[in-house]
Amino acid sequence: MARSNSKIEIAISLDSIVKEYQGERVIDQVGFQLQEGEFLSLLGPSGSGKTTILRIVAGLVKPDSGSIILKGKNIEHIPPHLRNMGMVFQQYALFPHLTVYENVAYGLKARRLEKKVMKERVSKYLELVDLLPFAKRKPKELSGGQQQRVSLARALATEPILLLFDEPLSNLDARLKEQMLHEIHTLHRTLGFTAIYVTHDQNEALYLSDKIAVLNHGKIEQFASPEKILQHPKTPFVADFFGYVNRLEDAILQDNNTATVGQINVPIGHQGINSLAGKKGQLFIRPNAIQVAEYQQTLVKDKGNLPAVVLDARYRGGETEVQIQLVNEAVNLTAVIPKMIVPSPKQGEQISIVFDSSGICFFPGDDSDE
Amino acid sequence: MNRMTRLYTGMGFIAILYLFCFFLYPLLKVFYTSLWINDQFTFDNYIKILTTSIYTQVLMKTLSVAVISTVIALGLGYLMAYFIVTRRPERQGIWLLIVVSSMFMSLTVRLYGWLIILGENSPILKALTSLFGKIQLLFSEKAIVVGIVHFILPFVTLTIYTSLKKIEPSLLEASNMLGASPLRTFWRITFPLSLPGIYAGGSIAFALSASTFLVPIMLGGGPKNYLIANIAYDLIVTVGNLDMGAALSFVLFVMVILILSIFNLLERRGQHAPRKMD
Repeated sequence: MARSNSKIEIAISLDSIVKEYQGERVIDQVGFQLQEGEFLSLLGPSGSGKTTILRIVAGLVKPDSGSIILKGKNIEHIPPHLRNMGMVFQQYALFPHLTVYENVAYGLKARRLEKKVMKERVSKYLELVDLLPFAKRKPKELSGGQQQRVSLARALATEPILLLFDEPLSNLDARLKEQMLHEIHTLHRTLGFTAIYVTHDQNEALYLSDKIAVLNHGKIEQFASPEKILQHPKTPFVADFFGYVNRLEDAILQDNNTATVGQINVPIGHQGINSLAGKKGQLFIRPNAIQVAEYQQTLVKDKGNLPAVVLDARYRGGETEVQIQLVNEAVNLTAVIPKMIVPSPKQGEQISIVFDSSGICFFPGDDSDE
Repeated sequence: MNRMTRLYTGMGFIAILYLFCFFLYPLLKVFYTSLWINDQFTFDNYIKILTTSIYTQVLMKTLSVAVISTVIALGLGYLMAYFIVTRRPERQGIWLLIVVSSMFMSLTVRLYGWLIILGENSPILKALTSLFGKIQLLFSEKAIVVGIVHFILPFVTLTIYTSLKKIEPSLLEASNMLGASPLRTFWRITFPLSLPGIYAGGSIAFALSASTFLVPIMLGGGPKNYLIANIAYDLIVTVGNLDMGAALSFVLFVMVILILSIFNLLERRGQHAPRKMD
């Protein structure tokens, strides 16, 4: 979709949405804006409220308070079938008594489209997901991946204002997941629809989204682009969720670029809000921000290298994950060498490491702790 | 063959043996009896049943009472099942228990209840009379239908409930999200997907209605409203006309099997070819 510079259209905006179940607040003051053509992922662990937000947008769940504006129109009191949204479900939710064709035509029939237009529309979208030859089949005669593509075509065919995805890939195996991920991204690029996508998988969110909302206990922890979230996680929770797996307590911020843990200086690339020099806090370090000098292709300077000992090494998708312990400080870390090391580093092997500041964050602790 | 398979095969064999001894053999015996009059092999009994107006009338009456009862029970049962399935999951068990609870009591006792409800001194009937004018229900075909519906309703409700319960809630949401109103969703999704329950419930209901024995005696007011099962009983026990009674029983059996086959056919067609949507 061509996005003109002059005018940015807001597709949907949520404002201070609250939802309680039996006295427990599952959605707590959630609000965000989504521009036309943008792809938003709601990302969070189970119980974080991501699916509830999607269902509130869909109209399947009523919020206790807050407002939802769709294309400038308040839609709180509009029932789901009149909201003109499309939804792709985790369990596909294809109608088992109807053929693939009839499934895709279902929404068009409800809109009383002319027969000829309907036929063209169904064919167009079945073609898009490569399933035109299967039009006469029943859903149960298709594989899981094919069923999810029918469900995608069915939602797209009504050409909705907003497309909603409820963990659509979590029932598919790893390889199919990759294919579908690519397919959804390609469809988004070609058709330019606006979408909200619920997932607990950070990789799906990173791959597909223009914006990601990271949710925790019914609150948005961070709402930003994938790049921003990766480089500048706003809270420890976000950092943890996006693969900053090493957490060092009792770090002290020295200046904008350095923190210390015990005797060790660690360069930092990003710091959380309310960080002041001298403040105590936590360090979050990505495994790939710890470079093992011995296995680095480009030469790493000897100066500033920290001696460490290998505790364990495992292969993980063409990379080598190494558990190490620093020699000067009783600190265990997980590092990743971005290639397979054969034979893998041995237990007890002496190595030296260098920190890469771009994958390291400092978050100040609560004042009350000090 | 492992031990479990052998166990199941053995149990299956016992079941088949049981069916053969207590169902198939008696059935064949009935058929055999109906074909012998005074040591002569003949189809006379069947010819008589199909040509004598008393018998054809009873046949038609039985058929119509059974069909009407089945249709009413399917309608009421569907409403009840739909009501229950849309309650909160933890409450559904209680509703089902209420439906089934009528079956805890003997049918005779329950029909006595209907005798009171439909009787002249019943406040319910009096209230109805004041609204719609004089109503005579007891000792008529209508009373038989009321009794039969009461008897078969739990079976119908349970089978339809089961089929409704099997429908994934996400299908209804998907229909909703595609722009179909709740009413449209019911007719296009819920109803077609509950058809197996309607066929199964209808089959049970018809088989039970057509062979009903007690209801015509207690609510029908005697021989004028007797149905096939009562006539067959009278022929065998009172008159002692064994072969004729056997023939009538067999005709009832064939009638039920025929209707059940139609239900079966409908169900299979439903599985292969979808209902036309418009």
